Amino acid sequence: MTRLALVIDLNKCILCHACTVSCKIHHDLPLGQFWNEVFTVGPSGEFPHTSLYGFPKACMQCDKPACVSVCPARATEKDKETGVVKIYEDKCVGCRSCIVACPYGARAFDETKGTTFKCELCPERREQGKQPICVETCVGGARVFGDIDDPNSEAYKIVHEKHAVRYLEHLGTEPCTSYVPA
Amino acid sequence: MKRRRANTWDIRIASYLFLAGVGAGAFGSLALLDYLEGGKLHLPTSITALLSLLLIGIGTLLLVSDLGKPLRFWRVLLNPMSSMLSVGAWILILFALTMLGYLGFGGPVFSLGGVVFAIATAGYTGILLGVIKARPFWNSPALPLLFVTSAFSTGIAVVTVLASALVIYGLDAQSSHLLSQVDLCLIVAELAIIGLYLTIMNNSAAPAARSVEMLLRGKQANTFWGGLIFAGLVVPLVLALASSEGVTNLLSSILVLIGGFSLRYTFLAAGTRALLPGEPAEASYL
Ligand code: SF4
Ligand code: SF4
Repeated sequence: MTRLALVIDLNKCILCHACTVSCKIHHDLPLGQFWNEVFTVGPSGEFPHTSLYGFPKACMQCDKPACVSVCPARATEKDKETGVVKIYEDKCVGCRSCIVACPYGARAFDETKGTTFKCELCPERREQGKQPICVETCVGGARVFGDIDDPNSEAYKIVHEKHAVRYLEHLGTEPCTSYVPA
Repeated sequence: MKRRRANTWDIRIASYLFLAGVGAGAFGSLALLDYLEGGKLHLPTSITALLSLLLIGIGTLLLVSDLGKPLRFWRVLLNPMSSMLSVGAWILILFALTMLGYLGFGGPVFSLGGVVFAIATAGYTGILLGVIKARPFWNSPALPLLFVTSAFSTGIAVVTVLASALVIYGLDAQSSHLLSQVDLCLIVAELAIIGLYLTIMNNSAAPAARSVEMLLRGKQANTFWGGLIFAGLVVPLVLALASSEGVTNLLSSILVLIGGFSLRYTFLAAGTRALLPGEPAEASYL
């Protein structure tokens, strides 16, 4: 099976927010709406042993998506061919159940369009054989995109060699996005 | 840009949960009495059915108007098993049909059916939130129990208001006394459930403890203490113990309704989720 996802190396993120900005520009997102964000973790610890790092967040493309089972319109589903969790804009009724149910706060409601959107790993760019825009613009090289089921992909190698971890696993969503710990 | 609709669920959804609960509780309690009395309460039960249909209608309108695409509402009905929201929409429709059936034909089948669908409707408003694992404060079977208790308590409150406002309502003194006794028990039960609920949540997952904090001391504290605990439960309890006169009954019924709304509003708003590293707490609020 193919499961497209991001692997994010927290040691390489320099907190420049280029991914957030390029995502907003590429998808023309309205004010206050994000499909990708970078949180600042810290500063913590005591001098000279302090730390500060960035935590980029977007939809985790879950294997058991909490957003899908609450959708009353069957407008969102995990795509079997790519593993990407998609929203069908023409089916969405804009109830925001999925926004409430997603444990990662990954979805955003577009007030003008009346429907909900999120990161789908840039399908329009993938069609052209390109990487998602955030991966291309990442200055620190922290974001790697690929098929986490393909042993020849860089993403697969990083997940396994660097022991990438997943977040909020106890909620049972089985996220595909994973992180190399800082 | 001023947001017309919240990014998540706001006061409209709280009102919907409240109105569906009141409608279910009002018809449910009278239909049960009518069933037990062998159909002697047909008149007040019918009037209550009309009122419940109105309340549930307003609630449904609120729910539909809250959608980003209200005209696509049919998709919710066409995918009945897709989610709790769709199941609930159908439960509401069946409940409304049962009430119409009662209005048309009366009789034990429709009154008993009304009781069943009233419980299902009130329970569903709790299950809708209760199935959401990401928000541990809601994720408990005790939430539907609490909402059902409040639904019947607020439902009886509405019946009491009707009985004192409508001369033709025709609820006999004995039945109305029985209902206020039941409401008294429900208020005590609700206080106990809320106390237990918050104690358990306070000792479970971190987001749930944050929710309890929000209710007791945080953003929702005024509505929680003032609207729900004090106005909605403690004062009606004291009033009911002090006297059973018409005016006190009426006053305490109105307070119970304020409490019922405050319950839905604060419990909805307090459902926070877990935070990712570095995520600001406000991001997890509804
Ligand atoms: S991160 Fe949220 S929106 Fe994305 S698939 Fe998982 S539950 Fe759905
Ligand atoms: S907002 Fe759209 S995608 Fe999300 S649950 Fe509602 S109908 Fe489904």
